[in-house]
Amino acid sequence: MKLTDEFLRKIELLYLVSKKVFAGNLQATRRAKKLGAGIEVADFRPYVSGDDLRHIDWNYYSSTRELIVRLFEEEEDLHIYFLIDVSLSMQVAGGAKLEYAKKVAAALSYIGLANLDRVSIVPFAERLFTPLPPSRGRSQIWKIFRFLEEEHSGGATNIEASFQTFVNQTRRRGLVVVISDFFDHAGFVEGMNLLRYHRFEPLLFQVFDTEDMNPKLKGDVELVDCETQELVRLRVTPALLRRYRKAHEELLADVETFARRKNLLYFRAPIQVPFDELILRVFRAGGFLR
Amino acid sequence: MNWVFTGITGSALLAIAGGLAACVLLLYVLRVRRRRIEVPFSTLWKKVLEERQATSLWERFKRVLSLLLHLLILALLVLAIADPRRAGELEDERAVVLIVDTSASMLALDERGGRTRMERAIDEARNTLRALSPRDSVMLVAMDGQLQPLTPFTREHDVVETRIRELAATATAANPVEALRFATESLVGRAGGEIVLVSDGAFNTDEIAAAELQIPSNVDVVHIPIGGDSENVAITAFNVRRYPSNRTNYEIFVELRSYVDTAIEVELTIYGDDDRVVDFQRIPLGPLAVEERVYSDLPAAGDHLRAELEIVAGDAADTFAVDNTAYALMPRKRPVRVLLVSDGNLYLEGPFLLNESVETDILASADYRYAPGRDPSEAYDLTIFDGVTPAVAESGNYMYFNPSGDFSPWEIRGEYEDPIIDKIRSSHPLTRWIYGMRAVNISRASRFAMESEDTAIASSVRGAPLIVARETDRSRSIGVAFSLAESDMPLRVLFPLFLLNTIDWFTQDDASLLESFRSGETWFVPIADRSIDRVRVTAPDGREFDAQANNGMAVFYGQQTGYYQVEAGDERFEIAGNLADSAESDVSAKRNLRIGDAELRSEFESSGRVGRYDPWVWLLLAATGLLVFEWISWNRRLTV
Repeated sequence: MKLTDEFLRKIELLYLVSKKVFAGNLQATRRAKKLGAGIEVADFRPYVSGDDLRHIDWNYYSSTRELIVRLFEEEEDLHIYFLIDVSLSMQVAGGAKLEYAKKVAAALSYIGLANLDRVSIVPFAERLFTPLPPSRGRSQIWKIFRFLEEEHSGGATNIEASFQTFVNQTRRRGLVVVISDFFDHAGFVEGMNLLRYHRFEPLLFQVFDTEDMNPKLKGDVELVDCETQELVRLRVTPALLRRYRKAHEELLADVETFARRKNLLYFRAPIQVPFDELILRVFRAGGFLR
Repeated sequence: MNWVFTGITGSALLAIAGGLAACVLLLYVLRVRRRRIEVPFSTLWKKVLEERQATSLWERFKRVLSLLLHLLILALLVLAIADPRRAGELEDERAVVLIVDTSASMLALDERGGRTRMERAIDEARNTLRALSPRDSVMLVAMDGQLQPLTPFTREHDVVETRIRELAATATAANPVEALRFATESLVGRAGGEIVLVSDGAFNTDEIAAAELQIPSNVDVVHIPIGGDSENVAITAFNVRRYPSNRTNYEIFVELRSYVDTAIEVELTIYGDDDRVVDFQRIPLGPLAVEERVYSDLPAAGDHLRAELEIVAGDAADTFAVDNTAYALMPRKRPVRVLLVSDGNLYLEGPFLLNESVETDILASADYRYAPGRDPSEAYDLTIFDGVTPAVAESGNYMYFNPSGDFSPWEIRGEYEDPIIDKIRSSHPLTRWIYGMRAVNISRASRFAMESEDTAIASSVRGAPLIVARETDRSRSIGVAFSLAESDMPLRVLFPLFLLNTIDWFTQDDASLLESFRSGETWFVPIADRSIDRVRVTAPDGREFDAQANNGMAVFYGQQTGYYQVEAGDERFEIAGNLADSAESDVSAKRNLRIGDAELRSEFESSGRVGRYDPWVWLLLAATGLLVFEWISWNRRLTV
């Protein structure tokens, strides 16, 4: 990823926009789901032995003679984990998709750091690569940039295995921004569910190249999967290309549908759309900023 | 319906079709090396292919259909090459001899659009060719003074058409009899024989009837008439001769013919060298008149004479120009060298000395001594012995007056007193223009013993030869049996004429009417050197060619009018060629030619080209259509 002046200007501009959102101009609030020792009541539950007596709602007891305890939101630093797909499928055609993913990650990282969140970058493909430990403060952005510029060799995509490792290794819950093309032959659902089950908040960016949807193929060809080296021999016809486009659309729709059903934030990220426009869409949709 | 393959044989057809089909099948069996392309997620493609599995049967059918389509295209192409024909169609094929008149009259300008008859004839010949079926064979023959087969029987009609376009009329008369005879002989053994004569009929139609052509009943003869009822005036004869007595002057004979139904007036101009006008006359000509004119005693105006004729009055248009000009040359005038061996005889010397065309040397009889290798007469055209008879060479021209002694060519068997000339061979060149020989008085004459080579020119009442001509392979001799001193012959008018005839006889110089050569004939042109076997000829249009010569005669075919230059060794001279054919000049077209009792058809029957069935064309079109369909379907992925 190249840090150009234009790129830096754009993420600075995005940060300013995010401040307006934070100020309440836009609906973009988010709370931590973790309950803890905060001061704001998050919920109530029946008293059980061992609960802190200070948290019993005595007012409620006086009127109903039932013991309930107040649950408080824990006030803590927000952890944002950027899980970036660096598999070979993200690197085809000159690595345009991976480049785009890194730009999106960099921009959101800057905004997160500026909001005093803890930001961590976690590359993955067939396995989890060594992550960038959580960093805090805007000054850490250069460390993130350098990390993103580093070469992370690809391999096949294995979302489930990678995320399994992630949830096992990551003690602090937080927002997980998954940036991937979701080209996993084994599927993406199990991996995403692992995040959900371990109470991470997934936010999905599905990166794709519209050129992939409309391949310029003719005649008899032998297709090689860039990750598995699997061969597919076929004769390309207009009808076949139509069916392929439809299948590609269905793959996008599958991810989107999954996200909608599980109440997850989802963004389609065609690389032909400038990354800053995508970030603005994220702001409008809410969920990333507190 | 039976079919035959005329393009290639059946076995060759099977071999080609089998070979090509095997190639197509092999190409289908062989797998095409596919392009390898990297994709990010092959699962999508596999999913798509799985959906297609349901239609794999259709896919296989399409592949077979594609193969069948290619095999069908191949079969159509091979069949087209084989050129299939109905068996009956072959039986209908014709053999046509296409005779196109290229004679001089075809240069007449009377076709629409200011075209010549030749141009129209070329169009008609091409139309005839187009009316033929490709199976019909045709032979092209150009008919002018000599017959020229331009192609053999061929089905390559394009070749014939090319030769037709190259046809050009020559200044010669047509020879229809030879053409028809040749065509008839060419068709012997050929089925469906036809003769097509494209001609204006400007020839002697009586000749065809007189020739009694044996044209078989199964051979049709069609005459496609060319030209219209045109008018013409012509110079049909233009000849010149020198006067025997005065060879510096000459007289001209001109024959003019009018082929106009009304009275007209023509201008006849005669030019000499350098276009100098020798004579100019306006001559009235009656309807279809023949006018003969002799121009007498004209002074020599060089060697070349040209006559030009033009209509100047009357309601007529001369459409044919070739016969309006005629050419002539003055006879070649060569000095004759004469050796007179005499001891003095003014009577004999006088006529020679006065004749400027004769160079005479006089030698005393005592000085004439012959020996082998030294012959005093060798350098002379004629040697005259006046009263002496020495030994001479075997070859040579000799004239003896009163020969005697051992070397006399004639054995002398006595003498006659006062013989009277009674019998004269008037047909002999020596007696040409001579009258009154019987009145010659002779006091004494020798009695010659005649031999087989001898011809008695003049004989006495008793049959005794008085003037004898002898002609052998190697020499000519004239013997006069009396002495000039013992006769009054030198005093008579006939004497100088007799001497001139003598010189002409010896030198073979014919002072009679010298006719020019007629174009369209084989010309026999005398040359001096008998040993030359090849001469160089330059035609009037500048074209040069070599002609054969044999025994003092050059032989070649003249087809132009004008002056030809002949180069025979050191000898160079000219000859004139003229059309001079009254039948050819009669350019009014003949539409109803007859051979025997039968009138020739004037419409050539087409081979039914419109309804003709050319399967190879349709096969080729079908193959092209299928190829287009295959191309479109492939591009639209219908058959793949």
